[in-house]
Parts: sequence; C-alpha cells; structure tokens
Amino acid sequence: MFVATVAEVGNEVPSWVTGFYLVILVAMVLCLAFEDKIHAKKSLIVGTFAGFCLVTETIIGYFTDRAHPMLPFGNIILPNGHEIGLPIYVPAIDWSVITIILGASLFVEVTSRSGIFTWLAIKLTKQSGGDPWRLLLFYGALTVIFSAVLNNVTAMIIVGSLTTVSLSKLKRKDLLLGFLLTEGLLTNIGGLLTLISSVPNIIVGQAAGIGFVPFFIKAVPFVIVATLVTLLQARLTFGVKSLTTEEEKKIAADLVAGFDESESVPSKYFFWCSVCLLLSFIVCLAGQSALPWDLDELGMGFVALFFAGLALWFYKHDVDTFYKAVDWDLLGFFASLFVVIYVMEQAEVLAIIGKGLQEMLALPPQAAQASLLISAAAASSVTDNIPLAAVLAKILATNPIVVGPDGSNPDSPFWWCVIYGANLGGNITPIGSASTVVAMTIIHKNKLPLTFVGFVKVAAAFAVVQIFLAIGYVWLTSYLF
Amino acid sequence: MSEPRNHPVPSRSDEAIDEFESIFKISERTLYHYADVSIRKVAVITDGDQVMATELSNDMKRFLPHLAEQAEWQYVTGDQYQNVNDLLRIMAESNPDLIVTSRCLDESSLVPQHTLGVYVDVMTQTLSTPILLLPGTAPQPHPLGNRACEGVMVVTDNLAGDDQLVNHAVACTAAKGTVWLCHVEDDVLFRRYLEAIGRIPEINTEQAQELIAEQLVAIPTQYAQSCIDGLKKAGVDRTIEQIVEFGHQVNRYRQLVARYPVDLLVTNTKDKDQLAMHGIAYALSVELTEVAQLLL
Repeated sequence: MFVATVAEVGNEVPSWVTGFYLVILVAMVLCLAFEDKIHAKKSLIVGTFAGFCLVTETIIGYFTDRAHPMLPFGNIILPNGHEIGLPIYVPAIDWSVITIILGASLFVEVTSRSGIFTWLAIKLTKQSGGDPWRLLLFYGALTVIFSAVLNNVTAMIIVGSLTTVSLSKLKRKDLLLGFLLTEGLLTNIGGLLTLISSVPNIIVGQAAGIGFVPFFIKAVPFVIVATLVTLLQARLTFGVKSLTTEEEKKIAADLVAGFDESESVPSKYFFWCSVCLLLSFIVCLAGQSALPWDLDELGMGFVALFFAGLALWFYKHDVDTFYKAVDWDLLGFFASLFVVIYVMEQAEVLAIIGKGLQEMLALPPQAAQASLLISAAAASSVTDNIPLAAVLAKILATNPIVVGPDGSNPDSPFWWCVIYGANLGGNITPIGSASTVVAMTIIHKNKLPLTFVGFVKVAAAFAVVQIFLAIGYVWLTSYLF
Repeated sequence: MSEPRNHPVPSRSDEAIDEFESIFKISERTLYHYADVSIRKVAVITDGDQVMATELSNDMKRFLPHLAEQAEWQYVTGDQYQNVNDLLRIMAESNPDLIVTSRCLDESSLVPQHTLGVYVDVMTQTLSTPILLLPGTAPQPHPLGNRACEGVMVVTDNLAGDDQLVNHAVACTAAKGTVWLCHVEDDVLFRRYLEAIGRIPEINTEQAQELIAEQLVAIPTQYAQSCIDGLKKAGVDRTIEQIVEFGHQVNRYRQLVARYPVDLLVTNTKDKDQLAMHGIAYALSVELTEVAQLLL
C-alpha cells in the first residue's frame, strides 16, 4: 500500500527516494522520543539528521536528475528584484518562529530578574491564607498565566519551586505530589492561551496566519473552562480540602504570613520598569498587525527582539550572562527541524503524509476534527510536539479542505485541532511535554514516589477530559464562527 | 564516546529549580509570636535548711518581683532528699513551673569546679521545667543583689524561631528593662566548612564565604527584628537589642556579659538528639558562674 501511494504521488521524485526519507523522518522522531536513552541533546540529534538529509539529497539529486536537483540551489530573489546568495539551509528555516522564540526568551530572562513573577507568586501565597484548596486554585491560576506569558517550562519551575517551599512551610507535604502533577497538567492548558505561549502555537499560528488577538479571543473560553475542570478534578483525585477549624486557619495564615514578597525584588525601579515593559510587550504583540507606517511588516519576531533589546539595557554590562542563558539547544533544534522538514518537502514525504491525512480530513467535519485532534494528541504524548506541529502545519497549509479555494483560511477549525492536540497530548505521559518533564524532576527531587506508569495512570484521566472538552469546543466554535 | 567530566553537570532546569527554590526560601521569614509565660508555682531547692530556703526565696522575689505577686512558692530543703531520684520524685509530685536552685547542690565536700553537679545535670535533662541557677555554686554562692532583674541576655547559636527562649527572657525582665538577643555563629566550624568548600572546584570559595556568612547572619537578624516588632505590637515595655555575629561562642559570650549589665542569661539546654546537655549551654553554665542563668 505504501509503495502504491508513493508511486501515485512521486511524479518527479523517485518513489524509493520518498520512501527512504520517510524512513529517515520516522527514525528522527523515534530518536527524539528516546532522547534520554541516547543521552544526546535535541539540537544534536536533529542537527545530525538535517546534515545527513542535506548531504544525501544533494548526492541523490546529482545522480538521479542533475538538470532538476531536488534541492533548489541558486540565488534568492527578493521582492524588490535583487538577488542574494544564501546557502540552501538558510531560507529553509522559518526565521519568524526562531526570532519570536529568541526574543521572547531573552525578554523573559531579563524581566524575571526584576522579581515580578516571584513577587506575584508570593503575594498570592499570602492571600491564600495557607488554605490548601485556595492555594491550589491560586497556584493553578498562576501556572496558567505564567505559562501564557512566559513559557510552560519556566512557569512549572517557578510555581513548582514555590509549591515545594510553601507546602513544606505549611507542613502539608502530603499534598505536594497532587499539587505538582496538577500544575504540570495546567502548564499545557496555559500554553494554549496566546499565540506565543507555546511553540506549536507559534508554528501553526504563523502557518495559518492567525493574529495574536483572534488567537487569544478564541483560546480564552476554553482555557478558563479547562482550568476550572482540571482544578475540580484535582480536588477530587488528590483530596485537597479547605481548612475547617478557626485554629487551623490561624496557624496556616501565620505560617504564610512569614513570606516577604519584597525580598525577591532587588530594585523597585527595575521592578516597575519591568512591569511597564511587560505590559507594553503584550500590547505591542496584540496590536502588531495594526502597527502604522509598515511597521507591521517587521513581524512579531522583531517585536520580541526589540523588547528583549530594551530590557537588556538594564544589564548593559552583563548582557553576555543573558546570552548564555538562552536555550541554544532549543533554537538549534528548531533551526535543524525546519531544515529536515524542508528536505522532506522536496522529497515529497510531506505530500505522502498529506495524502494519508487527506482521508481523515475528508470524513464528515465533526469526525474529521475529532480524529485529527485525537491523533495529534496521541502522537505528541510519546514524542516531541514541535516536529508534529511543524509537519502538520506545513501539510495543512496546502490542503484545500483546510485553506479553501483562497489558499488561506485562518478560521479553519483544523488549525485548532492541531494546536489543542499538540498541546494537550503532552499531558498523557511524563515525556509528553517539557513542562511535565520538569514536574517529574521536581517530584523526584522531593523523593516522591511516581513512576512513568504511575504518572500515566493519574494524568491520563485528566488528559482525556481535557481532550474531550477541546473536541467539544472545536465543534462549538466551528458552528458559531 | 564518554564525555570528559567527573561529576554530572546539572541540567538547565535543575539549576533553575534550585535557583527559584532559593529565591522563595530567602523570602521566608520565621516570625516571632509573643506569649505570656505563666509561672504559677516556683520550687526553691537548696541543700540547706528552711531558713536558707526562705532567704533564697526572698532574694528571688526581689530579683523577679512579678513572680512574688503571682506565684505559689514551694521550698525543698536538704533533709527532704537523699539522692537524685528522691529529688526527681518530689519535683514530679509538685510539678512546678520554675525550679530555682544552685550549681553543685549537696556537693560541698567535693570542692567542685567546672560542673553543674549531678542534681542539676540530671534535672536539666529529665525535667521539662525551666531551671533558674543562682550565681556561684551551692558551697560558694554569689549574692544575687538587692535589685530586680533588669538586664537579660538570650544566648544561643540558633535564635531564629525560638519563641520560647525569647518569651522566657521577656518574662524575667523587669518593666523598662533590656533584653539582648544574642546569636553567635561558631567561626571555627564556619572555617572548617570553608576549607572543604575551598577544595571543591565547582564552588567559588570567596563567593561562597561571602554568601553563606550573609545568610547565617540574615536569618537570626530577621528573627530578632520580628521579635522587636512582635513585642512592640503586644505592648510589652522592654528594650530589645540584637547582637548577631561570628566568633568563638564561649569567649564572645564572656565578653558580652562583661560589656553589658547582664543580670540573667537565658539559654536552651535540651538537645533532641541526645541526653546530654546542649554543648554551648553546658559550657556557659559552668564557665559563667557569676551570673544567674535560666536553663530551658
């Protein structure tokens, strides 16, 4: 069946070449899934595959059809007619995605030094009065907001660390496992809130042409409902109850009153500047498409880099510290991944996958949406959701059912199926997303007993509820809009 | 291919988790909670007769005048006990809130030196009742003086969170008197740790010394400040001063007692991990015999 499909699609590319690269793609996905076993970083794994793909596709192109090589070598023609020479792997990378991630992570790294996030976290801890249920509600909300504004890994690190310290102070370490698991699951819900909250959002949003504000408006209702449902489910699952007696309440309130939020703020001036910068950053991202004088053409990536640059002036003598803090492994991974996907596109591998996906998309709309969302969730539960989002975004961007006759339809529910599936699938297993990996790290650091299977047993129930909620929400929004 | 390193390098997330945990721990304050120490029954133990016991109790009533008004006084004289078990049985029966006695009780024939004596030694560890040691020893007592206790020094190597210690010190201080909250970090021990840190290439020794010293001082200082705020809020009319520093503990306390007009030292004796008296408390109670001491 596979060979027959290849034969149908491959007009110019030999079918064995497409099959070969499909195997390479599967091998790369498997290597990413077993990253811990290989003991190698993602950037190195995918970079190796990218190099291998570029070299082999160049050689195969040379020997099969030298007049029409698979990789389109040559100069790049700019919109103004100028030609520039760039290595083939440079335009293969989606630089708008890379610049958003680089700019946003640098910005967050600097502004978080102001203590703005820790200040808010401690303030809420005190507001809870040490009541476990209120604490879970506040930390849940905090996790979702931080995941949306920062990223899900940083959110998990901040809220998870505070949870460890505050529950230890309240002498309620019996609740720690439940809290950390719930927060881990909520990071992936918070990651759905804005266009730049998670990498799959950025990739799919860029491919679909969804703006920051439309994304936010559509995501907010689902995020609120899913958060509340998850918190209620956590209350029942982990037995998180409110304090009942006045004496218990007084003791708990006295204990959390011992936190001093001002201790985490090194400078009030920098603190308030960071608050202003953060609000301006969000406003600029939201209004980026409406910027005047063609400034919108510079894109969201420029906005992120611009604000990172502004923030770095606060540490003008130590900017190298922040450059070192950038997750270069992640950026190298993305860049390499785009190169691999580009090679796969030239080798018609994406066309083959698209062909298989076509059958799913041709089902009745509700069934098609549910199938795509569940498939994306299942795939992202065992492997990295970024290659999944990148491959699916590339395929869906050329599918007529998704983009319609105009070749562009940001309102298509199928984009949202990939977004929800790729994000929520990370809640099924502890390796499904980077933030659940961090949650497991904190759980093990506190010597709490939770195995891979143990995590799946507990988390799968949450993930299933969230995925069904997402399917219902996609159906509802596709009906309403 | 194995990587050329001896120790596992912590991942970025491990480092970040640790960093944020530290930020939140720095924000943690141990708050002081004032509580009125209720002393309703005082047992005065001597190895002498009833006359001696009455004299002692009169001295004590001048020294701690508010106890004279509130408490019931019980006298245990030398003829009432023959050994430690007898004394422990009497204390168990009477169950006082405070025991007043002397070092080297019933050991006049031994010319004791640098010891609390067997009676006090056993009582500090087997009874939970605070023991007030009078200046000097039973064979060679020092006069308590005719004035009330106006200067109390809390001596400890771990001030933070010890509300009981502070509350007892406040309870023993006369109105408008002064309480010195003293915390001396053992510099010998600190230097030993720094020597170990100096042998670890992954830790910057100079930075470690500076940061650890800063935190060791910050924790008791913040607690002392909380005591000042808590007592002010409770309307307790005492002057509270804090002394937090590094040094050789016994020498520093000896210097501090000489520098300030101290009438009473208050210290913890219980060590939850051992039966013997807490190290610094024992050293102080046998070396600073010229000052009255309240052992908790």
